[in-house]
Amino acid sequence: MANSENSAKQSRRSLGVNARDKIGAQLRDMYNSVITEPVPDRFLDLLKSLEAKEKSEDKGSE
Amino acid sequence: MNQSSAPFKSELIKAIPNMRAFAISLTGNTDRADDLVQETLVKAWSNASSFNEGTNMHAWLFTILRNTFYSEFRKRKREVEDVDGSMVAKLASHPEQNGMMDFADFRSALTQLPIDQREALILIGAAGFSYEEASVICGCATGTIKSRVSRARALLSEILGGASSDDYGPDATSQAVVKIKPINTITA
Repeated sequence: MANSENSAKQSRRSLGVNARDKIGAQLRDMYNSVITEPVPDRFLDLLKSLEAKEKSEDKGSE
Repeated sequence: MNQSSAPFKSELIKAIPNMRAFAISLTGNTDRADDLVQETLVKAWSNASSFNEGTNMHAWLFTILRNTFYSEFRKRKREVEDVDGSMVAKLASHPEQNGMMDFADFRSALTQLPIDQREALILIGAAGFSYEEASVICGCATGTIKSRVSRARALLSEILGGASSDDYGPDATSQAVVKIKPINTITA
């Protein structure tokens, strides 16, 4: 009795672990597929313009 | 030139791919995600002085991004929040017959999770933060993060077809929708 309960619990848990592994792998794959994309130009341009703005403000305050 | 801005800028650039991955996972939409990253960069730049050098810059940026996402989300409220997952059964996606799902399907499944569960799962399961770091980013207890992650995994596995494809095959409603002919074929 106790044994069959245990094995039922066991199989439920191993199913859970499988599903968990699968989801974890898919999640990481999806995430990594974005991380490996090159940085879009719009962000480099944005930072360049923020930096330029700061530079001109620094000069203005001298 | 401000002497500290050059290394700060290069650190920001290095963090952009991670910020985009987080934003896309949160929004499920590349355009919205990139707007979110842009806003985060502007805020980070103007609050550079509040960043403590030597601390985890990714965690700092993720916090800004996440807070920006939330305030925008509250403003819009266009999306339907599904706190207890009651809509999941209706929205359950049907995996391709070969069982393979592309990232678009996975992204859309992810956006069906309640936001708090979604972000916890991404931070822990993909971005590689510790429970402690994630709890700082989300402003809640570590135990809360843990339970959100486990609920997110359970719900996601349900959405992605944890049951057999027969159990989750197209129902009468979705089959009826598929059968509807496009309107423009009638008028032509």
